[in-house]
Amino acid sequence: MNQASSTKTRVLISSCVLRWQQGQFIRLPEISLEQGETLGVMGPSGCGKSTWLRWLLGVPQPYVTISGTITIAGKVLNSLPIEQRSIGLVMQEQALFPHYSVAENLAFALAQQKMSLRAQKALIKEQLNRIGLTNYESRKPYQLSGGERARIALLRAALAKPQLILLDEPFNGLDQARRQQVCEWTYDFLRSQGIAAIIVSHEQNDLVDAQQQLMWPQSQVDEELV
Amino acid sequence: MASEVSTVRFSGYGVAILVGLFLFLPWVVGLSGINGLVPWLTAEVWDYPGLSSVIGQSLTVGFTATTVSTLLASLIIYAEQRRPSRLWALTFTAPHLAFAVAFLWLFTPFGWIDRLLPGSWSWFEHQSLPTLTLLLISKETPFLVVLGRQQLLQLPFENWLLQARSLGASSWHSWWFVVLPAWLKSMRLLIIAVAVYSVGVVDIASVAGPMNPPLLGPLLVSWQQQFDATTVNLAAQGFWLLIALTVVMVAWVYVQETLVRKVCGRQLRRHRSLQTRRRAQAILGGVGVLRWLMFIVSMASGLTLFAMSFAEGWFYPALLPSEWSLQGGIAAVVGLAPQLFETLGIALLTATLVTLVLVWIREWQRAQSREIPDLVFIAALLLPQTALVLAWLHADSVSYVIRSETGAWWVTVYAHCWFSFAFAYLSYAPAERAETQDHLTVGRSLGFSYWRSWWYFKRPQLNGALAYAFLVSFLVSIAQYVPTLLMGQGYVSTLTTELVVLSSGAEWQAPAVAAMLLWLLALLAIIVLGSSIRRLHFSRDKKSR
Amino acid sequence: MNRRKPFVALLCAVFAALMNLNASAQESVTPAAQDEVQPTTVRFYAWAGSAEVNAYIQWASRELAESNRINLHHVKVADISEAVALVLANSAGESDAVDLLWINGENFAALKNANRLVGGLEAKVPNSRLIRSDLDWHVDFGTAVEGFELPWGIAQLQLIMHTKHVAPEQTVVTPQALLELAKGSPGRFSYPKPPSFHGTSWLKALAFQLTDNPAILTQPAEPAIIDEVLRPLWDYLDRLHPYLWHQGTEFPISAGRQRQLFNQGVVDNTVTFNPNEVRALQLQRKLAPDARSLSIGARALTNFHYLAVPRASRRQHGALEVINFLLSPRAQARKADPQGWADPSVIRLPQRDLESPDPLVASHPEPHVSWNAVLEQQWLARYQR
Repeated sequence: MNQASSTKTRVLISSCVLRWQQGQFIRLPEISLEQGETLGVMGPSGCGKSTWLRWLLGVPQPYVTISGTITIAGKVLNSLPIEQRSIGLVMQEQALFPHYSVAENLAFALAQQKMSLRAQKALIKEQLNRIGLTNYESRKPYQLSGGERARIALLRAALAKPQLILLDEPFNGLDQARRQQVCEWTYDFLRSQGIAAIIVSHEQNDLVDAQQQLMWPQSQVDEELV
Repeated sequence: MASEVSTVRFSGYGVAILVGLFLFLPWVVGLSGINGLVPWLTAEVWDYPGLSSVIGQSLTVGFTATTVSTLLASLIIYAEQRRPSRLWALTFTAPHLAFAVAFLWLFTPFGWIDRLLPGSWSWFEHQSLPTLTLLLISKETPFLVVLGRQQLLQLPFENWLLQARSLGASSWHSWWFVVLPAWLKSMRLLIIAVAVYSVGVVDIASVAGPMNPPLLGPLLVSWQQQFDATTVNLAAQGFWLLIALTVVMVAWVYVQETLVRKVCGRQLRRHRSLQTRRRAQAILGGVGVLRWLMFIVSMASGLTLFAMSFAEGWFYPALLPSEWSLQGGIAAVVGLAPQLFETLGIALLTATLVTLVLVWIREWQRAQSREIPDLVFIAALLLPQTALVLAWLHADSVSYVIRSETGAWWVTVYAHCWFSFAFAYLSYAPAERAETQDHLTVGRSLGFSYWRSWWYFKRPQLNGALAYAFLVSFLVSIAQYVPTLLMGQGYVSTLTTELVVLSSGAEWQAPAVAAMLLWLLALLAIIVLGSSIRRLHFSRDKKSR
Repeated sequence: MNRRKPFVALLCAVFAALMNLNASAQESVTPAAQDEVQPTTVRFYAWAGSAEVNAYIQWASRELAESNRINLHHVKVADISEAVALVLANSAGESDAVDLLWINGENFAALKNANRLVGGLEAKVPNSRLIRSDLDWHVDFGTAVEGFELPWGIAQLQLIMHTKHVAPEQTVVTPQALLELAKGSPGRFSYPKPPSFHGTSWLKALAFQLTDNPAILTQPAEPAIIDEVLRPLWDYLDRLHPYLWHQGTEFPISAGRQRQLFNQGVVDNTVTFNPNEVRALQLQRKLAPDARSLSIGARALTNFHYLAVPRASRRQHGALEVINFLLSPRAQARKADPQGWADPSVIRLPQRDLESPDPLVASHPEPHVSWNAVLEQQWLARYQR
């Protein structure tokens, strides 16, 4: 890999290997994403995808050793704590803080940007309008439908202006009709925001709109270790 | 499918009715014993000398103990979110009366530490509000920590932390702004229990609290034990006063919780520094010091009781007694043997019954696929114990039954079970909820009956939690004072009632021996159940990762 | 139902074990339980804040078990009013709870007035004829005894102080001298809080010393004279309190608690109702070796403590037998033993020295019982803030 290409590429994940204590391992191909580009990672559940996402965030993982280099805009992130990586996360469940209103959830993402409280309020109103959830500010997450929650979770992640958003099975728990709808909306939203994203799912349908596709590799057994 | 089969098993309505009776009878009986002497403006109780101090001091203790122990517990929970320390459990299990006796001997002016380093120690006066408050805080903080951890494990707090940090907040801010308000909310019932206990505290207050005037709890019990018409009236009106203070405390817990949520909600939208390491380190260090301080104080208190039990002629300013006498201590132990056996017997019976009922109730909820709110099971903790017991005492049915020795004994055991149940439920239900019924269902598909497959397939997962629930009810039982005194009618004499009686005189050896035996009993229970509980901690460590 | 059987069996086993445990615990108190004639249980309610008193009652129950086949069960209470409340609450007929009471003063008055006590005890207890004729025990706190209780021991209120505050030959401390002492060592003196038994007694003793006409105190308290009679007492306390422990805002809850504080060096005085106690407690190393007892004024408040039997008791016969034993020369001599309880004997004894202990000073009687409530209420109204 040469230096020139890595500065141009927004997100570069290279030489990534997941190694389990029992000796299995998975070697991932090099991943590079441009601004606004999405990567769909497809694979059955329980094979290390979520673990890998957490490693990208910088959460120490038990049972698995993961090596590799994460570079965003030319900066190697490996030694940075989560809050300084500029990577957003959207989860399948508990996507929002249940005890806070929609506005409070969104404001949390804006706190790091120097902005008056009034500007914050206006921005939240405007953004909610944009995603079609006008006047949702004071609602609590339990008052929202699954689709609304998913949209607000993604909006919240985007408001923090990350370089990359990780979506971990974001459409689980939605019924089939709504799943399709939310899925399309998500890709549109990401493209319009110009944020690179990695979407992990076990459903092929969730990923058809992604520009890049990655089939999660089967784990191999390390002969030397055995 | 599983629930259909289970319903068949649980159609044993007999047990359901028995358990329902066990839980609700005390309320019915209590209601029938409530007096109508609500203290309106003209009531005698308002003329009782120093009543405003009585109320003011009770509320001060209630507010301070509740708020400070909640604050400390949240700091400890924060500091130990990854590596929970087991030392708190040790302090949590020390019987509070025994702890108070030893604490006073050690830390009061002219106490042991003062004799060791003269003039150094004049903070904790005898019969003072700060001493009492400190004692309450040092008992309630470990309680909130130990049970608070289990509440925390029921929250997806690690997910929240992850999301909050991915939004650019430090782990410090993520914890305090996102996890704390949710944890506080999940702790509401427990904190109310602490608040209610603090505002109506009797036993520790009569050993360490102010006496001129006393707090409402001890005052009410002393009124109850008088027989002239005026005092009987005062007792009846004081009952309502205590209820009123309880309501105030419950309101305070809500206010406290709302305040924290509001402040956090406001703060989370403001710009935050990422330089929080130093603050986090300070808390970690502070909690570390506190942990060892509490541990050392607990151990020192235990040793003190031991020393007092075998000391003869220990007068100010001597650092050590003029003579150690094994004989005197042993004679006192032998003299207390009946109380020791009575305490042990009642506590074992209580813990066994409570654990059985607990398991049954949880399985019943599973079978009905319905979660009954915790409130139903722990409502006993939300009213001052003294008020409840007084209501029972005035119910004709109870006063008839406890007239005979057997009746009094069983009613006392019942009261122990009922109060222990609430605490045990709090410690068992979260762990049980975290388990799935899968193992049990697999067992049943192999042809085992419901309870056999529970025993072989589900119980092993819950051994730790069961041992813990057993331990908690055991500990609650051995420390019961007011119910044993008033329901036992002099027929039931346990180490705790004996300790209070012996403390009414000037002796130090006899009360110390009673306190030491209480403590040893608690310690023994921990040692016996310890291995199972360690397993519980281990499995929790795994889960919390 | 089958699958619940093991649980039921387990439950039964636990119950059985516990009932056994319970039974064996009871037995350890009554070694004579194996006799073919069932022993009578007598439930004796008595204050239990003193190891010596408890040991004495334990001795008595051993003796009674051997000689009378009576199982004397000491029900320990922190305050005998608990038992009085119990007897008064039991309005309907016979009861198992209380067979014998250690009692005096207002507690006795309450039970006697409610007609809850067995009368004619002198005729029913043979040893009552041994009671010393020089003792004026027929009036208990102004209430005529009239056979509803029998004296068990003698009490005399005395002050206990560290030697450093007392001249070598001194046996009396006047209220005025006490005030001077307190001024000299502020924060070092206190007294048990009224309405505790000793606290109220302290007020009575002071009232006798300070009132111009002490004889009025032996009459019922007339509302018209109360203020005038008690004014010197309250004036005195107003002057004394600022120099007391906690500036007189906090008081030890009982004499027992005050003795603890005395031994721990927190305060320099305490009070006792047992004139022999100082010597006895020092022998047992339960009281600081430099403690001395002094009379408050020239005459000390003296009273008796008694034994009484509730009417509702189903085992009156056994209770009377116990009283008879407790009034026997052997039991009274044992009670007066300075190595034990050291409570003066109420009957004539061969060893005269156990009868009339040396520090027993000239006495004045208890005020009329009606003063109790007056003193307690006024004290609370003035000083409980």
